[in-house]
Amino acid sequence: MLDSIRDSGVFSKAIASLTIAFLLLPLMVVIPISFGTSSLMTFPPHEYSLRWYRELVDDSRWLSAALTSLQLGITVAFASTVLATMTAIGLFRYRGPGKAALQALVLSPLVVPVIVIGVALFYLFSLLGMTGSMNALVCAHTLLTFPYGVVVINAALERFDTRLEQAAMSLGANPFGTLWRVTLPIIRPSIVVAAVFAFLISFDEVVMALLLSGPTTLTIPKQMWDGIRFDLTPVIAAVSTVLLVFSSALVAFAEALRRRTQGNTR
Amino acid sequence: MEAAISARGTVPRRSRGGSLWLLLPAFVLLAGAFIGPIAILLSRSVLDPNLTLQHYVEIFSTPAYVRVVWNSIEIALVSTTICLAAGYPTAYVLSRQRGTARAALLGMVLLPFWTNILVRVYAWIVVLQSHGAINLFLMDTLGIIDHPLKLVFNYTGAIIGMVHYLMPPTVLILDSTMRSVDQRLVLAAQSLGATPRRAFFRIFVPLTLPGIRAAAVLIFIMGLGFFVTPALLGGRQQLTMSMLVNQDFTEIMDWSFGSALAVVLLALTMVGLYAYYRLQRKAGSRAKGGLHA
Repeated sequence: MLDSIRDSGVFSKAIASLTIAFLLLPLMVVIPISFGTSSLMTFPPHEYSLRWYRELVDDSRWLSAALTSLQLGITVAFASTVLATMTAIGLFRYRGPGKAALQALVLSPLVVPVIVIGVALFYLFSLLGMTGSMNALVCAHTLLTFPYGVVVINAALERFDTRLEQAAMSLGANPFGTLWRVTLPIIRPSIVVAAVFAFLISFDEVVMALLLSGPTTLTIPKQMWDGIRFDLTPVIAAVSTVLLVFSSALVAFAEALRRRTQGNTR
Repeated sequence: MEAAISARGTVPRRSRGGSLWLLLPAFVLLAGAFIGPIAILLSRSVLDPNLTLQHYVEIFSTPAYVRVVWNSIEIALVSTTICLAAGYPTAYVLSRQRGTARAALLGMVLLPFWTNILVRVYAWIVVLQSHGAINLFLMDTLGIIDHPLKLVFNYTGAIIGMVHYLMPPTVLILDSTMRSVDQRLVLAAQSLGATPRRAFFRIFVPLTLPGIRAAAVLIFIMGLGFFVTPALLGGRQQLTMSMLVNQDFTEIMDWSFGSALAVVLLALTMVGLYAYYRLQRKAGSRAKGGLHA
């Protein structure tokens, strides 16, 4: 009986294998190409070298884009996580009317097409004379990332035993002390996960970067966009490979942390 | 999303609005960088400089623009269908696995999910271009075609890229639906004499139907407003609403028309979301009232 539950049939398995192959194919091609020598990006490459990585390192534009993206990502991770933590705790504690509407409002930036928010902010920041500024990008990315943080932190609060807060209060802690010494330490792992996700999303974000970045705030995605649009060089493959390794490591870190917290707070 | 943030609603602990100040910064951001700017778009789309609906009339009476709206819907519809057709068996296999096998399979779905969209788009260009991996394989290795197929910067490229973008979320949503199905019902059907195949189609598939409907709507919405893939893999002949909105604001500088088009895209998304919530609620009440009662 158990076998018939586990077994998912030849047909399903065949489709699943094809789907997985389809999902992984482009990534499996781009990595070898980044180590090739030909600018035609033939696959598989006839010879291997570090030529494109050398060009990448020698090009100061990529370095400055990397610095911009890092600075932006870290700022956004910080702003977005503070905001998400406050919002998640505020929503969790709120018991009044319209709670569902408040939650829907907080999550709504996730469902509106990014291009619509993008042009709306492009319009706003043009009126304010702020397009191309770092502040505009931070603002846009914080808006896009903090709802994810609210979801992640809220999940931790749902598992959190609120009697611990009541115990702290009954032992004489004031609300702020309870929040700072009891609630926040317990949900800290989820706050770190929210920060990592916010960083990753900001670091990878394309549409806002296209619309809002200026000459001094070119991010890696904006630089890649121009590269793909205008000269399709294998340097992009090298950048892609670096990004692939970088994001995989961060996601693995966040995922491990998330698992550990789920084990701990139970 | 709704489920993830549902109220605990058990212990009434504090005064009702005691922690509302915590929400203040979020609402300042939402008002200033989300609702406010969208309200500006909306007003720009109907004031030029007097109240007018001419931009909306233009969108729906000019064949070229109707074509763009339809193109966006068609690309989203076709990609959603392919994602569901291939994603359902994939999610089924995934939901059946346990332990390491499941973790490995899940990893293979999550890797593209977390890969920068531009990395994926670039990789597809490399694979699909006229001297790319697929064309070389078909021409040199198999020898079944003489001239390279045109696979990218056209409709085909847009669909391939879009399916690649939408497939991981499809599989993840369907997987969670399938895992919530009570396996004992399938076992019961089999113990009553149904073949595994019959139990699958008569019991399992109908139980996942509400989840499929909700996933379909959500994936369709995601595809409808997506900008990056159609813009880079579809080429100029396959204009979508998101591409035209971007063009109106950054190249043509027709902000009034662009605003109207953005509002149309937003409205279509809202209609889809409304359908999604209706389906979710129906699925929820059915699960409660029907099988688990």
